[in-house]
Amino acid sequence: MAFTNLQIRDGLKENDAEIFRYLYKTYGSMIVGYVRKNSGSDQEAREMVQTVLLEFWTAVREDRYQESGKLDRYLYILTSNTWRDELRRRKVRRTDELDTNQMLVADDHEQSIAMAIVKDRRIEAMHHCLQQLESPCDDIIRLYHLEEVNLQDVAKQMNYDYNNLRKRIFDCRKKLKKLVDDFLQQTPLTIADI
Amino acid sequence: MEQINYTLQIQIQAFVNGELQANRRAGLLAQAAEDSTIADELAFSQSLANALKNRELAAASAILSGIIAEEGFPPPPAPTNDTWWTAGKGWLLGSILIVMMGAGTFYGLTQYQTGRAARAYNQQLVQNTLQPLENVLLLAPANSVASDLLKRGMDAYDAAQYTKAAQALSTYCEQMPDPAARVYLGIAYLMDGHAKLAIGPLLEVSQAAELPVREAAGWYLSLAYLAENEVALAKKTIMQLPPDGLFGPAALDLLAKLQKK
Repeated sequence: MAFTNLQIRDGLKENDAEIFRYLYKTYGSMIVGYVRKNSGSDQEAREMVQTVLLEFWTAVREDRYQESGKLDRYLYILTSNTWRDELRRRKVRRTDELDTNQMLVADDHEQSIAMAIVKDRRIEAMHHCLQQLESPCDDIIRLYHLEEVNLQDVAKQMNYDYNNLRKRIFDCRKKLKKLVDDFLQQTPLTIADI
Repeated sequence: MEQINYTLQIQIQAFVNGELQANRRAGLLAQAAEDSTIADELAFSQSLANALKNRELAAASAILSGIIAEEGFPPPPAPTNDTWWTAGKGWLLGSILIVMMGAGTFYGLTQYQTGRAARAYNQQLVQNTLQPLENVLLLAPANSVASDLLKRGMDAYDAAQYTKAAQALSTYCEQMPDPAARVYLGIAYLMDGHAKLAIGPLLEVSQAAELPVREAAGWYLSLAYLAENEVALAKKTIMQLPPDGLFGPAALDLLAKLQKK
């Protein structure tokens, strides 16, 4: 089933899975072809498909995409720019690999968030597991990490003793880490493995 | 994780928020390189910050991951010249090609090297010559929706956001027969590294519009051809430009460089 540009725009704003599926099935091959043709590996092409579609999702959400334009041309240019940025970024970046559970910490604030999410599957896993985290851990983590409230203020807001809260936050992070590790073990497929 | 002291935790938070000074960032990364507990904590904090600050994007990514797992990975597009081979006539063509390749391997390799060098030279010439045209040619259209698109396109053009400019201008050009906007569309494509896409609108204007729009179109069209390694077409287009026009001196200079090569 084909969708109009307007349906695609509205569907992406609603996170409609059928629209994502349509985009993936219709334009996935084009993106793979572009990256392979421009010296990208299979794995890079795979990552780029997801990155480009997430960049497109972002453009739609931010009203940067005008639905009256031609979608194939838009996605082609988006692919080309995203891939060019990735190659340019690789040339200049200073990356420090930390050999811990094959994790990578990149001192790289130029990487697009879409690319960061595609490359680091823990982000998706964390998104899933944060929803499973129970109170008060969810509040503590939200206040401290998202809203960047300092621990003394978090303690005040939640009526905790400061030292107790310091211990608590470590426990909460530990709990979250366990949930994330379990989640990743249950779903070992990465985009690179498909 | 319990071994991470509070001061270090604060430093890690500042790191993931991009608030740590360069020397302290380097210091923290050096510490992490030697201590796996710190490395683990740093990686965890970075992922956590991304997951919290980009919840909606992470949700969209999760949907896509699910779809990719279900659908499998898309194959690259099929080659366009399949028909000869699938029709069973490929053997003849194949045999001819093998004989030709055998006889001309050395010649082919030499040509390949020369071709690559020429392509690189042409790209360099374009890079050294290409400058965006100042935003001076446009006329205000009567249609207000189109006017908004044009404004958006030209604002993006002025801000050197050529992808955005090309997107708005291409939509505008589908609605309005505006040769000047087509020139800017072509230039936006060129500046954005899409010479092939630039050729269409520039060619159209270079053949139909009046001066000075036609002249501008011709100049940028020659650069688009050159970027696409179409040297003969580039030269031909340059030679049609008036030598005493806006682009005359630059065109003569470029032509001289092309003929010297």
